[in-house]
Amino acid sequence: MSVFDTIHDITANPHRPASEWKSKTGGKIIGYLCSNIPEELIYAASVLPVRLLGANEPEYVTRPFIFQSGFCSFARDCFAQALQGRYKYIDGIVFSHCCPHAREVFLDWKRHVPVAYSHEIHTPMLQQSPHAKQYLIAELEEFLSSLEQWTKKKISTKAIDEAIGIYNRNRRLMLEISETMRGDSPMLTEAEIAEVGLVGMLMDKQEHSLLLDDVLKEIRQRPSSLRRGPRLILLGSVNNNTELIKFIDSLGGQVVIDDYCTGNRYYQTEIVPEENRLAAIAERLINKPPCPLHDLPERRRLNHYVNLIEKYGVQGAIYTMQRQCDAHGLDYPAVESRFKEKNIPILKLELDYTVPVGQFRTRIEAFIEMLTAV
Amino acid sequence: MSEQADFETRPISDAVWSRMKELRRERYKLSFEAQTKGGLCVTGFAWGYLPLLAGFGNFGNPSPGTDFTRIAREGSGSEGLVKFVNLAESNGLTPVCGAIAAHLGQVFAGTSFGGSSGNKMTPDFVFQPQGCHAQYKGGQICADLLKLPMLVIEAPFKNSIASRNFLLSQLSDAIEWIEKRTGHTFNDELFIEAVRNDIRSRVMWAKTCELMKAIPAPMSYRQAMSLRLPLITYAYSKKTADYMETLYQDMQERVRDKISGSPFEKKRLAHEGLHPLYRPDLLRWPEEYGAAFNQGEFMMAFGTFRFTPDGRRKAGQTLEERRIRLNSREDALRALVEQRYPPEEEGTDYDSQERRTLQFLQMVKDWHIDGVMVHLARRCAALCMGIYTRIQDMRRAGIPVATYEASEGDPKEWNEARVREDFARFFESMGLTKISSLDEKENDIDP
Ligand code: SF4
Ligand code: SF4
Repeated sequence: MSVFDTIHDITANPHRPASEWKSKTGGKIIGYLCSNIPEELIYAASVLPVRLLGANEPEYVTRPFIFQSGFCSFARDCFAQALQGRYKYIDGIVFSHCCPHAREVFLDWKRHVPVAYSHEIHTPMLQQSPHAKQYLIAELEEFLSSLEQWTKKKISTKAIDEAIGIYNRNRRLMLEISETMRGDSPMLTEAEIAEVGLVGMLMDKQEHSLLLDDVLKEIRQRPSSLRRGPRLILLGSVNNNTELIKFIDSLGGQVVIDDYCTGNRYYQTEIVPEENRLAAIAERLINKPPCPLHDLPERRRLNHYVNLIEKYGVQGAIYTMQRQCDAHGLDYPAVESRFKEKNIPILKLELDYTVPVGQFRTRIEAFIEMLTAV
Repeated sequence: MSEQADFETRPISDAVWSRMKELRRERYKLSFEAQTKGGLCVTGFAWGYLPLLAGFGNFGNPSPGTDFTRIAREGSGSEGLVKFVNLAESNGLTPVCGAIAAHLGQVFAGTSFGGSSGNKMTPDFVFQPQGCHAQYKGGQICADLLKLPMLVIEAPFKNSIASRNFLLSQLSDAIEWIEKRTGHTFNDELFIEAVRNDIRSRVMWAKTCELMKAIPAPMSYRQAMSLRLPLITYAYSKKTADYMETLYQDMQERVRDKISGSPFEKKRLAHEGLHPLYRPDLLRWPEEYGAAFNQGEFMMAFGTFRFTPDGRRKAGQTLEERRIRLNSREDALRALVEQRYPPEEEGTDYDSQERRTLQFLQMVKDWHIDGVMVHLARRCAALCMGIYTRIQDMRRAGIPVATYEASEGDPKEWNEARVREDFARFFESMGLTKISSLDEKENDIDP
């Protein structure tokens, strides 16, 4: 069985690794809704953090709980899974303050699918403020002590250091894998990389890093692919649907990088050690490539995009927006104009978890044709 | 009215109503004069922390969010708000919050910065203190379009020492930021005075809202939404604070004399959520059934209230009542911060679902509310957050609740027949029958 068989198996059974971890260790599991979570602290408390993701549940499931006319289909879908009983193994839920859709899911979850533990980290939105770090450190201190209270166990500095080490190694490996897409003849597809990254959010990072070691070994053995087609970046709202990437590739495009919070942005930045461990964690959370809601007053995300364009030789961009995502919807004009400045054509697609990606065939084909003709 | 009224009504006294209009006009005029007289000029969804700007003297804020008054007068058809929403959408902003689209449509159209005298203003920066996610991002787009710097102030929802310090540092930095960017000089005296007035205005409004507990309530919800208007853009002025005191005294008299804002209160209703701003007439629809809107969280939104752990709200106190003197810039900054984060409420999460429900249930009790009409605002995640759960809680507490769907800012979401029917069904379910028709559609209201 190749490492990719294992990875596909986890993708097909996304709840299995955490459930198995739980029966093996007897430990607690926390689900979280946003990538601005100090996972290292949860891990240091011997609790397993797993990201809550969408899985194409039918829309009616959430209808009694969420006013749908204008609700993010991703956030809705995460909650639908809870209502369907798919997250029974979760003992707690943690939220980092971001958009109101995600927050609604956090509130509704706590209320309608009760869990033993819940906590909201009031992550500052104005992360560019010189005072944001200090504020976030205070929030992390509170989170730490609430975890200690819940687990009835002191979290030692040594445990935090170990967790930081484990997470940093994982990030480094993911970045190394992702960077293999920079060359002309990548040995992986972006869909594979996205899948490799996504399964890491559902399992123990140490085990995931072992898988990543194997992925790197396999890459070295694969013949280079010499794939053709315009090199594309995918960006926009959270998206854990790798089918879209496969679909774009199947139509003649070549996705080489993404900027999703469930993708590249998740493992972009490491924690740099500081005497105060919480300060080090806060520093990473504030300095990693931001999501739109944390990207103001300056638009720092755009510079990050320019870096990715140059680094990955990007020729075209596909901006995917979850239906009704204000955060990414309101950022679109600025992103579009920066890409245009760089002569990178951009296509905007509105995703809906209940609608298959096939509906975009004509638009994507036309976009790829246009890029190929350039 | 075809039926004898239950309560005596009387127009709001001229001293109050005309004064409100004067203050609105005055603020509007000052706003448009400011720049020509060398003052600051800002734009943005800026309703909070305005004393900070007042510390620089008279300032202009020609577009404090969408200019709904003008648009409401123009109507909501293709010649009004819709054209701005369409313009925003054609510039790639779809599908986003309707209110923000309407605002940005005006910025795209360049209609936001012209005074009635024809003078155009060029804001110095975008001022975006607090607000929802869409307001922050909308302000940023405005900054892009007008090529302006942007000043954001964030006040987290949780009342903690860290939040207090965070806000205090930002406000104090903001003064230097403005001085450096614009070359204007901050005047501590003006600032202190503005903070004092701002607090007094908001406390007086909170006290006035408390008078709405009376049966009959001394003014209608619709009147209240108009009478509070100076609070939104001009609370920092002594004139507004004095006006608020006059309004309070006037309402005290009306309570004493049992003068009602509405002819009937067969049912006292609350309106939950912000109403569609282009259809303020809806706030009077209950009158056709002998009922009245008497309460709603938006009516109280600009007042200073303090909360007890059981969710009860009571008006705060002015600095004078608390015998607090502001002697320095630091004192005034701290007073502003404590407005947002009163030390006695430390630990409170102002956006907690449980807290909001508790407060709402308590409000229904204290204001003697018989039923609640909820506006489900399409594409507004911020105001609709947790709304279904809150509705369930209200129903569980035995409160009759109904809903209607529209949007605060996008008239394309408005379906008159449908909303009328939702209202009618609600009234009938409460045992009310139609007794009259309102004469005309009114459109003289701001957000
Ligand atoms: S996709 Fe957009 S609307 Fe949905 S949770 Fe993320 S930021 Fe919020
Ligand atoms: S309508 Fe809702 S999302 Fe839009 S600005 Fe108002 S609160 Fe924010």
